[in-house]
Amino acid sequence: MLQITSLSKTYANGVKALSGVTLTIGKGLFGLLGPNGAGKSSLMRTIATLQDPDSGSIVFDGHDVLADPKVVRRQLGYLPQDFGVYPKIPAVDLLEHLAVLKGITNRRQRADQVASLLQLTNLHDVRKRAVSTFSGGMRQRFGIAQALLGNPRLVIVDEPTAGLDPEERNRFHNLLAEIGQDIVVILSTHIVDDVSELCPRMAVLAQGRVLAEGRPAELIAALEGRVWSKTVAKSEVDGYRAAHRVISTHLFGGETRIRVMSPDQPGPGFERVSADLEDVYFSVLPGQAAA
Amino acid sequence: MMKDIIGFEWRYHSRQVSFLGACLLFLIFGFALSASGFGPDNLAINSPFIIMESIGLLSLLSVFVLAVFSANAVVRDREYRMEEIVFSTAVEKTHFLSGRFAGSFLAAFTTFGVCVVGMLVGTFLISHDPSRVAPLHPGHYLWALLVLALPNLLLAAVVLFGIATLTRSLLASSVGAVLIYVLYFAVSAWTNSPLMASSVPGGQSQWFVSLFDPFGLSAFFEQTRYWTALERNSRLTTLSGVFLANRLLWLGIAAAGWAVVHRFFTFRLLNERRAKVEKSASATQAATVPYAPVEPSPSSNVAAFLSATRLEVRSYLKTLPFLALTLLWAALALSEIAADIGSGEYGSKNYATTGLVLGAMQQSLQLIALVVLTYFSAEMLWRERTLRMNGILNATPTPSATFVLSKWAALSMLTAVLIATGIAVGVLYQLSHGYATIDWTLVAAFAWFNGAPLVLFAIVAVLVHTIIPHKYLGMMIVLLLAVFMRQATLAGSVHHLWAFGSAPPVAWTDMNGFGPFAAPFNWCMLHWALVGALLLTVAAALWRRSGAIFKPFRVVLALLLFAVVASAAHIVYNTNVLNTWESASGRQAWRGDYEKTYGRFASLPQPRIVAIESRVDLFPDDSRYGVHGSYVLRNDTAAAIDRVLVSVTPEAQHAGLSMPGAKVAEADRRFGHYWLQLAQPLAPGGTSNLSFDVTFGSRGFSDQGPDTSVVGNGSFLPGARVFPAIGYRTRYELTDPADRRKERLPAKRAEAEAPEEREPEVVDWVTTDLTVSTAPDQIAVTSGRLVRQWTEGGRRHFRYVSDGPIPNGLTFASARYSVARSAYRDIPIEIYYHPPHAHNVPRIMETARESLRYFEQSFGPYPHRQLKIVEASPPEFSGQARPDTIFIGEQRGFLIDVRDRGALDLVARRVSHEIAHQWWGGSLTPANRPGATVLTESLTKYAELLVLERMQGRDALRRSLTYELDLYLSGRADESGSEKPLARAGGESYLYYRKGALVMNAIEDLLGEARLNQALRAFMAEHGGPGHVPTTAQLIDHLRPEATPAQQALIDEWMNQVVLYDLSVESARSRPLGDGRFEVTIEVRASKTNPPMHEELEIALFELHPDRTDAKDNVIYAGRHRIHDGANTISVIVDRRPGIAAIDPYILRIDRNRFDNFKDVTK
Repeated sequence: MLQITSLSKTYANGVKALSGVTLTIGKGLFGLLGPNGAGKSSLMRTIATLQDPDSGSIVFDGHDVLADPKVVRRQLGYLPQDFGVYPKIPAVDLLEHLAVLKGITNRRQRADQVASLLQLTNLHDVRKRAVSTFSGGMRQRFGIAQALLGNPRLVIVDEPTAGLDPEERNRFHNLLAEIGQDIVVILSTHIVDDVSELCPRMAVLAQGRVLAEGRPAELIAALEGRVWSKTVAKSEVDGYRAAHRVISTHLFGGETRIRVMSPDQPGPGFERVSADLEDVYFSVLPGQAAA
Repeated sequence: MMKDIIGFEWRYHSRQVSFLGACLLFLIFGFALSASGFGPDNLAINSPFIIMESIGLLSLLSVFVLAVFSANAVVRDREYRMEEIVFSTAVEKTHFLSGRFAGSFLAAFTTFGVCVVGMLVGTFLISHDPSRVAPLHPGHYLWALLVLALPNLLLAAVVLFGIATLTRSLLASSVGAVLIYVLYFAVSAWTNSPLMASSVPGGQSQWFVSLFDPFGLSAFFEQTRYWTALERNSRLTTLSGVFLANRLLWLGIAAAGWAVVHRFFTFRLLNERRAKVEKSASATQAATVPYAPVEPSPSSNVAAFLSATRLEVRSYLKTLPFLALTLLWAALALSEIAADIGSGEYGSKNYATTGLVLGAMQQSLQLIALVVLTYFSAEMLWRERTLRMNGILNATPTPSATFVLSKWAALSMLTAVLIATGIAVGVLYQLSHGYATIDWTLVAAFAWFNGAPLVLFAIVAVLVHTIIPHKYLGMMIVLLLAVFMRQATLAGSVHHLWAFGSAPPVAWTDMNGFGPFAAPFNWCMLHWALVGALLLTVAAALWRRSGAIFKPFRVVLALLLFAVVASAAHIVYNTNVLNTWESASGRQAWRGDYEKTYGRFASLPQPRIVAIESRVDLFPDDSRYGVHGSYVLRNDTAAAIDRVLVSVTPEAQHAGLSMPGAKVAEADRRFGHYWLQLAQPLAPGGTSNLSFDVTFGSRGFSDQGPDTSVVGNGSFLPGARVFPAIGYRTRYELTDPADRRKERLPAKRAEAEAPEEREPEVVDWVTTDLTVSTAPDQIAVTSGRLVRQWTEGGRRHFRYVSDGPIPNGLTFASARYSVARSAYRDIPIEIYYHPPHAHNVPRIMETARESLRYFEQSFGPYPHRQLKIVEASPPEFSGQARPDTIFIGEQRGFLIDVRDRGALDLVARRVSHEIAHQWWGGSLTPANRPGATVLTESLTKYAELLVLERMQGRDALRRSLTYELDLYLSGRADESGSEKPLARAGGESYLYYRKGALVMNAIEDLLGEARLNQALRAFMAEHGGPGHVPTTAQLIDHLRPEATPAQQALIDEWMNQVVLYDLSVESARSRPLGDGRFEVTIEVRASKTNPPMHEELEIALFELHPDRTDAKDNVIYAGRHRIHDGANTISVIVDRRPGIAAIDPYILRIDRNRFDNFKDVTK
């Protein structure tokens, strides 16, 4: 179990990346949802022991991560948001090298695990190709393969599906769901569907703060009956915004469909709709609405 | 469009931290050069010559900074992944390339220009020596920037930009940087560049080689070689001759390089070649292995280190750039060896011993390795960050220390490969030059003494790049540190504990190996290794990831800190407690204070030593020695003497002095001076005894070079060090005018110009009875006849007794010598040599017999009953003459390769020179006053040339004189005051050796050998031996009766004035006469500095230039013709068609430009 308490971080250039983040994350997939620049990556990097917070604490299974990062590194799988690899090094060699760095010294065990991960991520056929020549999806799969090296009990994947095609994304989700049963997996993303499809628990992070936390179903249930939808002309949108609490606007077949949060019927033409995770997400973001 | 690109590029670069960093770097370098008073004392710091040299030197460093700008101008698109965006724009290739190049070059050149600001500040605001500052001429700086810096930077920029453009790799462009340096080093080694310590003394005309120096410095030195101080202070280098050719050549190469880049550059992404797809990949589809977690092993650091290091090696050592670098280095090493072994002094060759071969490449190895380390460390330490792989790696449990160590290990391996390559080249060179004795211990030592400081330097680079958050800024800091560490070590003005990775220099001799040099080096390396471990720990702690920074390292840091303090304490205890450490300025102050304290006693009447009876005990195994004996002192002055000033070398551990009826009234340990107060004054003519007991011993080790007098094998102990002396010691005085100014001492010149005011210092003649004891397996040698040798108390004793009074200059040598014996007449000749150095012994013996025979004929009987020739081990030692004993250095005598009989025989020269000193300086001992060195050295030079001509012929003489002429002309160019006439020469070696040789050779030609020797014999007979104080005036008096009035006038000009000639052949045409003969018409021009000129000079016709052939029939015509000022036409009829005409080909006049004395004959 990962316990994050009052984590704050302000960068040298004045950007306040985290302010008082407190989260408790148990086994299973945990979705960290937030817009770009919300502080997701800062939080992930801090948990992955790559940078120190200004204040706060992180405890994983009873170990103080900040005081003794090595303990968590031994149980950590980390897939950074944007990573590169050494040029000209074949996938299998690079994986072997990373396995050694992760502490798998037994040659046989290492070879077996590397082979199994290459198969798991469907990279076995291209294992002798340099990772630097991989396509985006292959590279991302390589990323997950290296994150699973060793015996990770805390896996952090930062924006893993960015740039993947639907099929690859699907395959990736299956992989995550499979491994995420007995260990802590933190998945950060700005795509609501990633979370709704995968995560039993989630939090919404924006401007360095946790705005909502819980099970997606519970968070949706809290909104149930309060979300209303109406199709309006594009020119009327600003008027509705002034009068109601518009949580999102979507274009649908060339027309604008707005969703409004209100305990009662907000006006003529609105129909009550069932809430979804996106409503949760947008409703907690301050002053934000997807166009 | 272009303007916009240039503008953008300029703005981009000028806003980077590295721009400011580079400006600062050049500001510091420029300032440091000027503020430290770069250049000789006689040139203003801001003289045009020094400005050119400084700016040229700084432009060497610009290559690194250009890597930041020029290479970065292209590589950055890839590094920051802008390539796709930039390359897909509509920009035209020419605009893109030129714009980027121009903008980045502008930025780079601007930063370089800042060095001028530094130089100005260093010259005018914080001046090292106000007397060396001339009025400001901004034009001199601009000219140097224009003709030297601009083309240099352009060339380097094109090379770096070009390679970077074509490969998009900074590392590949570093190969270009190294290529430029290699060319520069190679040319410097061959052209006698004053900037290279290993340069060949006495260069030939190297204009052709100077052409290939990409930095133009060799060509600049070529142009200014013979300029006098006055010219160097006022004249600007002109764009002419080889300097112009050099500049044009390299600008042309830059332009051609640019064309190549333009031709081959395309807006394509350079994709990695896809690895060959394994055909069998799917076939070998392994049975599905289910994923199962594997628990990491807790002790995986070694495996992680090995894997990480392997990966670094694979990514750097096995790459094309590094392979290319290694090949370049091999080529450079080969060229350095060839330059060093193949062209020693006077064009002699050396045996390719392991020591010489490896020593030749040492300097360039250090420089190339520093260049490589600077580049590769930046690349290696920034690789993960540039590739964005650091996140994955840093999240693994591998400790930061492992990453740090693997980077350092890879850099060390890089260094090791370079060293191994150098060794391989050296060994192959030895084998291919028939010197198959490879000393593998020495090879290992070479790797250790060179490798250790480099590997330690790699630690600094690792630390800098870990701390500094900007790659190029880090690279410049590494460069700055590299230069600083080198300079601090070279200057020797600070204790080596202040400069990381430095140690007292190590010297090696065949006879004694590293002897006492190894211990201080090894201790320093141990110390720096501990400091290095500390730095690596700091680097590991600051490695960019989370966690309490220093906490995990507390114990290690504390232990290391303790060890560092302990090793520093040990070194300081040795260097500053057991030994004394004194800064250069401290030593200078000591000498200044000495003169101020004791100078007034310089002419105090003092007794003279007339007899020495002493034991001299040498303990080679523990480097201690001492003398125990007595002097007979005699009062030769007209006054009664009541106190005697005795001086002992201050380093002595113990000095006991006693005289009957005298007590030590005052003991000044700082200067080792003791006043003995006599109860009864010593009357004129009276004698007394001084007993002494002085011992020396080295304790611990010193930071400023060990005492090498008595070492394990090859002890060489000057008597002046160990024996007490009577009276004021003139040799402690400061001689350099700038040093004297600093110590507020009056200029010495006054003394030289009014010499008669002071009683001349006369050489003491003494009888000696010396018993030398040494280790049981060694032979001890000194002057005198060996009357007895015996072994007693486990030590070997030798008693040497003089047969009569000899000049008091003794040296003691002891080693495991072999002895070769022969004789000339009834004079036994013995050669004491290191057994493996037997190659030249027969040649030395032959020369010794020949010299004795010839000198007896020429100058009179040999003044002793035996001749001993002893090999001496001190590095760089060439030769020394003592009564009946001469010492010849191992490297500069016994290891010179004389197998090629056509080459100038330096061994014969050196041996005959030292033997001639038995007459000149040994038998005839002038007073220490102006012109004394003419009698000791110039006459010896003459004797040496006589032997040379007799043994090797007139062509060898001619080749030898070209060196003397070049050394004289460059020596007078470096003269800080005004040049003295030869007859008043003091300590100026360019006068007494070089001009002395030229003038004596010319006088021999003028009077004829017989008449000159007749005069010298008479001079020796009248003024030789004890009690005489001969002068140069007396020498000239003896020449006079042998000369006609015209000849007398010439001798007077050459000896008593400074006269230079300017002779040249303007044209030469041959016309067949039909009868097989040819009429040759030669137009010559002549002038000299004190006209009118009206002299008989030799005109000669050759088939080929005499530099190119030794053929006997090469000379077609040689005859004397009367030559006057201005144009002369000479017509001669010869039997064969000549190829080349010459005036004064055998260098009988001091000609400012000897190259225009030859001219091809046209048909």
